[in-house]
Amino acid sequence: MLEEKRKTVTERLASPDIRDEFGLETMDMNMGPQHPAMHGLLRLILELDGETIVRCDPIMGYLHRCQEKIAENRMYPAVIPLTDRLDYFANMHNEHGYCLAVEDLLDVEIPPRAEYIRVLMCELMRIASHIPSIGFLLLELGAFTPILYAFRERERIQDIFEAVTGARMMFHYIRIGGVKADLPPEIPEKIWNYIEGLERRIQPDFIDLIEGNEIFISRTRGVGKMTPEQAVELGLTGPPLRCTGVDFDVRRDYPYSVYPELEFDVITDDAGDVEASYRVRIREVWQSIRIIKQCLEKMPEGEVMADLGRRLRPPEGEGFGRVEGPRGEFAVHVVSDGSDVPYRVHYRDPSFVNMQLLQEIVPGHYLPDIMPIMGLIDPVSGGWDK
Amino acid sequence: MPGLGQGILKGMAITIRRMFEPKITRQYPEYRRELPERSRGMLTVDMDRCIACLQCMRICPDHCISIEQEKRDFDGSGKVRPYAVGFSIDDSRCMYCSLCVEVCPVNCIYHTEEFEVQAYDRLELARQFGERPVDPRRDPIPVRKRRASRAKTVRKEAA
Repeated sequence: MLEEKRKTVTERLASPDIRDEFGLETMDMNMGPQHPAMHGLLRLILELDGETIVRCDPIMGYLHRCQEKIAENRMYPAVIPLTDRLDYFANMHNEHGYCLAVEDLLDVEIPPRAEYIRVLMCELMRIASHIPSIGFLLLELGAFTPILYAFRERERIQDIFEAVTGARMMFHYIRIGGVKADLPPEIPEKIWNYIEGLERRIQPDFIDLIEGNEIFISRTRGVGKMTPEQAVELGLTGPPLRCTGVDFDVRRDYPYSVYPELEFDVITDDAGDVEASYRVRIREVWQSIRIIKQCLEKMPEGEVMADLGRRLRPPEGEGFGRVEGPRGEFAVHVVSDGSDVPYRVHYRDPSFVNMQLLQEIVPGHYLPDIMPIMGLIDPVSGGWDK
Repeated sequence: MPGLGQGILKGMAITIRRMFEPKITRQYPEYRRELPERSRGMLTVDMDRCIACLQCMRICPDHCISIEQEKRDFDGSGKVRPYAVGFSIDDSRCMYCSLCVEVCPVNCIYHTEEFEVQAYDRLELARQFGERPVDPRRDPIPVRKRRASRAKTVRKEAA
């Protein structure tokens, strides 16, 4: 159906006779950067033919903070709090990626307990990101309740984070060589209780409420449809890639930390539309719960920080770290010149790369379909602008 | 239409069930929950313990700590020790990353539980400790200096 839609659009535009005869012309429209339904500060220049989108150009840069340049003027440990500000819905993954890159430079051994704590925190973060992203998707479709339920879950996870790290969002917890501090003694039980409660709540509060809802299906099924080849060509990662059926997950394919020791499934879906991306996200929450339970069971005792000395001076060279964030692959490339500040830091943020599908996928859709497609990508403006 | 109205029924069932559960929203200004032990609030300094080692000033990613150092002879023995005459923490820049707390060798800088801070002027947010005020806009420059010297050597090698 979409193919036909697209075809008629191109045909109508291709024949100037028809356009002159009926006075058809396209209209340029700006959406954003201050649009109430837009994900952060993004401006889309849309060329409309009636209600059908012919062209969609995303304009970014409204939240650009020169993160990479600032990192060149900060000592290695002082870059970590700045990585928190990149993708502010996946702070733990950003820290983890940066620390992996610097540890690659330093070639240090991380204490096993620290690795387990990192994975535990990252998976909690994934839940705290996936559930609100489903809430945002539904909020943009006009349903207000799911976002409140989603944020109730997120608040509880943030309470856990606050007790562990001292902050609710800008954690600064994962450090080069380990983590800042051990878990407080009451926290493992608290996490366990929360996870069990979430397992009970997720079915009635999210899956039963959303799946099978007629409005949800009619707004999302077949919207943003893409083939696996397209997704790979566009360089997508994370749920937007896996919802097309491509079986790729950095945690399994390029294992880091203690992921090889943990059991989990990589969730894929064949449909490749917005509904499929929702299904991938909600099922990944189950997998995260599985990983968290294994982490809590297997976590060894011991140190949480490797001894790296007071002043960090990595040798000259390059370090690379990649992690699977909630939105896709987050990678960091650090170049060292032997001093105590990095020579160059580069972030590959999934929000930025996944945004490419707007130009490819959106043309041919109707204007209101933009919002579900944004929900498919689920970009965070701190991530794409850096 | 087999599924007609089912969505509403499902939704209302959840709504009704929620009515009998305890509320999780808190009326913030009246109700204040207890902050966890590790909670990071505004910084404060115990000037009696400060040894003016300047490590917090150097590590701070936002350059929000400014210290004016002076060499003082405390006991009249002729042995001088560094002393922080002025110490300011600019809360308009601070991002509560806790790096200064971690590097402090005598634990004199630490987080309090306060987190609500407001002022009409930005400079009011720079809190002064110590005997005389410091200009909070002063920037410590060790990192930039190092960069410049490195750039020089690179240019020399290239030439």
